[in-house]
Amino acid sequence: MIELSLVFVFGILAGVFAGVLPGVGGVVIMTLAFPFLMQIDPASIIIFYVTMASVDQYFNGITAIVFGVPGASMNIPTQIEGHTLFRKGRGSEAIMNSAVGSFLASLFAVGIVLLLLPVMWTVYGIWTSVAQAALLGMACLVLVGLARNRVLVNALFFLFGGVLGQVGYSHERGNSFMTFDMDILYSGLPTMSVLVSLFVIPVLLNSYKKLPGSFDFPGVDFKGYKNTVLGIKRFWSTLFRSSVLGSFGGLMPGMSFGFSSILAYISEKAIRQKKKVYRQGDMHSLIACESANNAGVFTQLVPLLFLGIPITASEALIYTILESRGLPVDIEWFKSTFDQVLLFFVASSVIGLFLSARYVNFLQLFNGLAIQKIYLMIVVILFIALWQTGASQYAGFDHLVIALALVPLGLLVHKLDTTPLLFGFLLSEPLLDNLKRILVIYF
Amino acid sequence: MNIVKIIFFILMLTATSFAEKIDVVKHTSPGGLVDRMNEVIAKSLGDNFGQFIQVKNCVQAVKVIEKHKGKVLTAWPTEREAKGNPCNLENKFLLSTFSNSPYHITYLESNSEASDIDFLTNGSEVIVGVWDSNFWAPPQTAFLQSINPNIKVVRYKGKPFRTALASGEIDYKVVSFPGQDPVIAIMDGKHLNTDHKFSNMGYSMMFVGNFDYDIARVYSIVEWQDRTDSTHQPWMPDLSKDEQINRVEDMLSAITEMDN
Repeated sequence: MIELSLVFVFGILAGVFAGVLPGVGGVVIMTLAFPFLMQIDPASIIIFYVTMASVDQYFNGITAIVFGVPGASMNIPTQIEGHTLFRKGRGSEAIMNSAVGSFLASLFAVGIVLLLLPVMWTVYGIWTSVAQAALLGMACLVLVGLARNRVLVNALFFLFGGVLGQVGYSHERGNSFMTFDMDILYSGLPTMSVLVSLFVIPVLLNSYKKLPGSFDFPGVDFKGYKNTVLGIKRFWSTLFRSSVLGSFGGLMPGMSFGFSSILAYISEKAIRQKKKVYRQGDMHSLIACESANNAGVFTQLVPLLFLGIPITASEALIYTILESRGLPVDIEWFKSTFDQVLLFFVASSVIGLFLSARYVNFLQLFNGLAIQKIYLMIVVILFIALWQTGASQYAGFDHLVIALALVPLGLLVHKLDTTPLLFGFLLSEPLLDNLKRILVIYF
Repeated sequence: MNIVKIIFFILMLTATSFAEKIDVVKHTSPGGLVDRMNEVIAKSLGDNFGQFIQVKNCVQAVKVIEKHKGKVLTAWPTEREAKGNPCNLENKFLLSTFSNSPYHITYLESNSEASDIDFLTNGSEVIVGVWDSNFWAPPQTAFLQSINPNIKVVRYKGKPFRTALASGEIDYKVVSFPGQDPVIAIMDGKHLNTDHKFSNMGYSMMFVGNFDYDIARVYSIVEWQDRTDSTHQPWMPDLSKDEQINRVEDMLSAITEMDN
């Protein structure tokens, strides 16, 4: 029990660290913690991961809302809606609603898992290439239609993003694309480098002339939670839709909760646009992506815990640690750890919720600083983070160089909405992949 | 006498502390098969193990192996030695063949139709999933269609491959390590269409480095005996290095010719 408690505390600290520093995601933390994880009890490894991933989501959201920096690709919608709300002086509301929404979605995910466990293999029966392609295709179409630029510009951005996503040596194609014989390009363009240079920098450049949000966060306290919980009922339908999407995203290999949170966001935005009530800085759309994220954090454990299928890189690492230590990785063992995992997940969600409120109070230190200085500081921190997160993946300098090389392009298009470019980079390959499979299977 | 003993002891200590350490290059994603094999190699070095040199891709690994001032070793997927692959190593760095596992054809336990071998060999609509590799998928496809021309071969990347059987859109899956799925046939040259040139085909690795190191030391340690990838066995351990390399080159040429 002492070991479990210590692991829980380390998991919380790791989650805070991952959430506050952009780019430091689950894989980076798990890689850094590898020697430590090799020493601890197998159930503790799972608990460390679930605690870290859960707490990370709360802090990631705040970084995207307040500083306009998405910690990972799944936080791009949070940045788009949340940071706009922050600059409109509605930062507190954005933080509280997304935190409470996330917490409720986490509980929803626990319920979904308990409900679906007996029929999990049947659930996978619907996850065919057609279903995957339909969801991805819908997401891509809606994205191209909804971004702020003209549709043609969005489509071109999406295609260009897709081209950037193909850079590197492909074992599938057996050839190199746009590597120019430079070994740093053989692994492809790192997502974080593309995210920083082609999304964050253009957004910051666009934002700095506008009024900065206040770094006072009235109502972000324990009392504020009560008011938010009471007021969140007007978002029930949004919460339900996004929790369902996020939960299923976590369960499905190849989809991941990152994509499902983007899908939840796009769906919500489309609904709001249809009702002609959408304006950038939309609370419903923010809650949609944040709650989908948190629901998926828990459900993504199910394929690993019950079917022995690791669906994320972090889970593959956990699986390997267990295997390499000769520890049981059969379904019976995983089932025996489930109660503990459930308990620690709920506990970490509660702690994440309250700790993030305390963290927000520290942000008052930024009050009085000129927005240019704050943004400059963010850019410097981002590049240091790029170097450091890259270093943990053994390519720190490479990540930095690629990001710097992409900055001119980011500056060139900074007046446009670059989200279609970014989503083209992330989604076009899985979409094409599914379409190719459908062609072989059905034609 | 005591002085002699002390001097001897100091000399021993000095020799140990100055013994050149051997590094192991890690060049694949953590947790994968090659990564696990590199862990085993590091264990086999005992006190002589220096550190893991982690690189992002095999192109960078080639540079480390060619230019590293100290001694390095690593496990190396064989297909990287195929013509045109950007990660080709010169033969002088190929120390020996390492491990090989025949490809296994697996199915989902609840799929009663697929549990009958006759369905694989004579079924009119059979769909088989393979790992999306430009090198391995074409010979796998050629072999599968030689046993049943009605077989459609679908390529999958890593994550969707894991639940492809459960989704019901494929009947069989070709993998080197079958895990918990039942196996209907093994591509070991003894079962299906034994005359076909790819009937005996598996996922294999070479053992590479910049100095001579006996692979038998890896096979002798307890971590190798206890490996979970148990279908991966020592590959051509009785042949000389030249014979091993010739066999590998023949295999790679046969597959490359087919691809072209």
